Amino acid sequence: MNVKIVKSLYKKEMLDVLRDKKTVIMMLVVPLVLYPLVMICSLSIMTGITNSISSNTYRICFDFEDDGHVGELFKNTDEVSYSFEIVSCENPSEALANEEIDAIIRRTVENGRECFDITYMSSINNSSYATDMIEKTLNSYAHNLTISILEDAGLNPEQTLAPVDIHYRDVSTNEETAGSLLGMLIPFMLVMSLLMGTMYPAIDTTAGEKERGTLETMLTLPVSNSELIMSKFLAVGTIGVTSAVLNLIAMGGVGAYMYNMVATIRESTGGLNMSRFIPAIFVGTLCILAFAIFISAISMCVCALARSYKEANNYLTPLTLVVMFASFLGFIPNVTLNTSTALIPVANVCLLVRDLLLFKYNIQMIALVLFVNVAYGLVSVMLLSKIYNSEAVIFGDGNGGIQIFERRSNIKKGMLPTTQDAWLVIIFTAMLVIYAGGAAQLKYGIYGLLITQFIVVGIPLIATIYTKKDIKNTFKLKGCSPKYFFGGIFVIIGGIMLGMLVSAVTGLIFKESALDASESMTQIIGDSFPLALIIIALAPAICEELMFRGYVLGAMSGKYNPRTAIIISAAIFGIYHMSISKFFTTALIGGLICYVAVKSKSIFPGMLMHFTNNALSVATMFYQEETARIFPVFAKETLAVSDILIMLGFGIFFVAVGFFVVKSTKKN
Amino acid sequence: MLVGENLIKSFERNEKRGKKTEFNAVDDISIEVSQGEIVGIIGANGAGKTTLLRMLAGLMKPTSGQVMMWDGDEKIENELVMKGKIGYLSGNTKLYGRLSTRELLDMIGKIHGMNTSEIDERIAEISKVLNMDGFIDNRIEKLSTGQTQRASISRCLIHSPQIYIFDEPTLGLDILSSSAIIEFMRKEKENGKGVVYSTHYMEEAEYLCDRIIMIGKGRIIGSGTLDELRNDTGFSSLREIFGALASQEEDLYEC
Repeated sequence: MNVKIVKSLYKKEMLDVLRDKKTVIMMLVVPLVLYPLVMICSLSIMTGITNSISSNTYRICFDFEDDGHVGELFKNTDEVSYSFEIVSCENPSEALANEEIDAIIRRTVENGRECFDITYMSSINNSSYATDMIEKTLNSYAHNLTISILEDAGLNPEQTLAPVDIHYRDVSTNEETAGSLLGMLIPFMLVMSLLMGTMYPAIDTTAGEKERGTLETMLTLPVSNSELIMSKFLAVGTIGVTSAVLNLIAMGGVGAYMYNMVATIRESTGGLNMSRFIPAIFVGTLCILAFAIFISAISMCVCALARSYKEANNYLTPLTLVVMFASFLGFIPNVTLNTSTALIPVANVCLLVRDLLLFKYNIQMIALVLFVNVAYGLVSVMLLSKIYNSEAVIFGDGNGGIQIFERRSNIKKGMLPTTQDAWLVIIFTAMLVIYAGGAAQLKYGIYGLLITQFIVVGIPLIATIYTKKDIKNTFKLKGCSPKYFFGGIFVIIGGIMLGMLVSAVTGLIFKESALDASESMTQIIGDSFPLALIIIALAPAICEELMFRGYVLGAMSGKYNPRTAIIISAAIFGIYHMSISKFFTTALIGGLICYVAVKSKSIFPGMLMHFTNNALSVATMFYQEETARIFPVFAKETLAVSDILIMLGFGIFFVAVGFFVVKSTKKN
Repeated sequence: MLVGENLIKSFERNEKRGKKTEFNAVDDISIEVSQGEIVGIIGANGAGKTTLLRMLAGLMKPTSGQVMMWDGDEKIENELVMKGKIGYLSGNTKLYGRLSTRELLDMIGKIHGMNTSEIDERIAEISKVLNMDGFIDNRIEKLSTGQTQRASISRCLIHSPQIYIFDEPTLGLDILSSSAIIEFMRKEKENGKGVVYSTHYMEEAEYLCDRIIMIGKGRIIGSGTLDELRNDTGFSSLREIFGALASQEEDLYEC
């Protein structure tokens, strides 16, 4: 990559983007003018209203013969912000109706108690405020009266009125209180402002360039694909970061203004030590940069698929919704940053920023979140350069590509889904599984798992029907020779052994997350073995197979050669299980099942293999002692070298035998 | 010298019932453009002219076959190096509207590895030749059609390429603008540059081209100098020659 070329391309991109009015408005005017204006206006309107209330003089009318002590009460209130004017009028009700007075007070004495009747009009603001103030005055009169009665009776008024006294002492510092409040809002605002900031430049540099026809000009120049992508990516990232920083400054400014205002009203400045926020701001800035890399790359990926500005806008809408949804996680009190949540894009940044504002510094977590964001970003950039490299995207006239957003009448019937559609379906399903499936599991426990499985099979099914693809072909709903079932069993038994070795290794590296997984499993499954067998072994064997070996593998093998298709599908299957420690094991198992599925051209041997694998782990969970007796290796905490060798040997042997059976063709 | 050997480019075409069929937009065409000559490519719409020129310019990769350049005895196969010696212009190569012509030329010069003083000199030179002094610092989106076309040509000139590839450069232009472009190509030929360009205007090709290649359905249906083509077919005007060759080809397909 030639740095000089990237530099001059970057300069061009920046000039091009910054001279676009839309981008500049989004970047500058919204944060720097609109936010403060809206906030300050609404604040001054509100304070204006409160001021006008409290500095009023309320006119009241006594509708009884006052011996002087009531008048005295209202004349000598201790308040400075309001006062009463006692008016005498002929017809008080009429005066009230004409708004000449704000309230009428009547006083009677019954059984030695003083009764006050207050007549007012709730529909008129001043009248109802006056009533509040009258109530306040009378309450303090009643309180004083009570005290003097109690004192007359020889009682201690404080003891009698409040025999139990409760004091609250908030030990969190002002900074922490401020932090926890900000921790809810700032991550969300930050994420959204970054997304908004990157959106327009992302569209402009990708779909915009295509629409304006300058991309072909660019291709005539001796510029490599990576130089082109890098310069675009840097430009979008720069603008994203700039707009995020401007947003933060604007928010900070407005926050400080509001804080000052509140402080002067309350006249009690607790004193906020701003220097305590410095490390948070520092780490937060790093975090913004990492997140900017991620979000720029993602939005560019989405936009690069579009042919025009309008189309890119359409594609970005679902992205915005997903990002918004994920950033709401920062609002949920029980969701904390751990090794699993750190892997969820967007949510991880929100949670980290929230933690930072609560002064929780977990170096490992900070490093993990930064790493994850940069890694996702890089993967997306690589994907982007792949997308940008394809002539179909650059010169494409709209054949193939994403069909889900097309009008259904425009979609042509076909055999297999496109890979672009498949990626969308995968991402959408993953989102639903994480959020809806997660919620269902929290609420319905083991049945929630079943709901998750319905999501897993439902989305690809709907997508396939909507895009008019051949269901039988896509999901491989075809019978096959029994030898594939037979071979498949061998492959999966070998695969389980190899998988155990792999998870033993990954378990050493990612201790915590392995523990997390096994704990949550035992919590969910309950104690009925047949039920667990149905939900954990049978349902996934059907649903996940249809999704991963059916839809995903089908779409991938429509475009790539079988090996690449298997590797991609296996990796997706691994990622779907949402745990680093399980990734390699599940990817291995997934890959083996993919192989059998490709060879047999049928979904059913894979279902059997999947069921075998899951059923075995369910059995191990329920009958630990028995399995330990039959397969002692299963129960061991750590594996000895001899165990490893034996398992490796048997594993490879079984897989090899299975492959042999699956591969062998009848000779004519 | 720019050489394309046995170039094939196949695309997928959607047909009824969603079946995809492959077809060759360019079907085994070999072409050579030397310094100091103008090669014209003539063909009906959809004959594969644009695809052929895009492959020659390195914008598209051939499905099979090879594009290379000879710089004297030195063979160049690296796509990026070749792009540095080619100036490509088509109706689809639009300019960045928000930049001025000077900024655009400056950027392109830098990408071609020229230094600042070289670029400034070259811009002054080109601006004089194409008479762009009056608008070189205006944003391109504010220019008139003729001015934009001149700016587009200046983009191909900045790095002093050896070969020009023009895809229908005179399409949709008025007489003045198109004759300016024709004169430009003649001048560059005299300067020892090679030009390959496609056109629908037969008279223009008759006047300008040293060699003419006629293509139909992705294949060469006739090629040679104007005189050679006249001798082969017995017709005198290019229009008649093309008509005869095209109908011959049709017959071939129908048999």
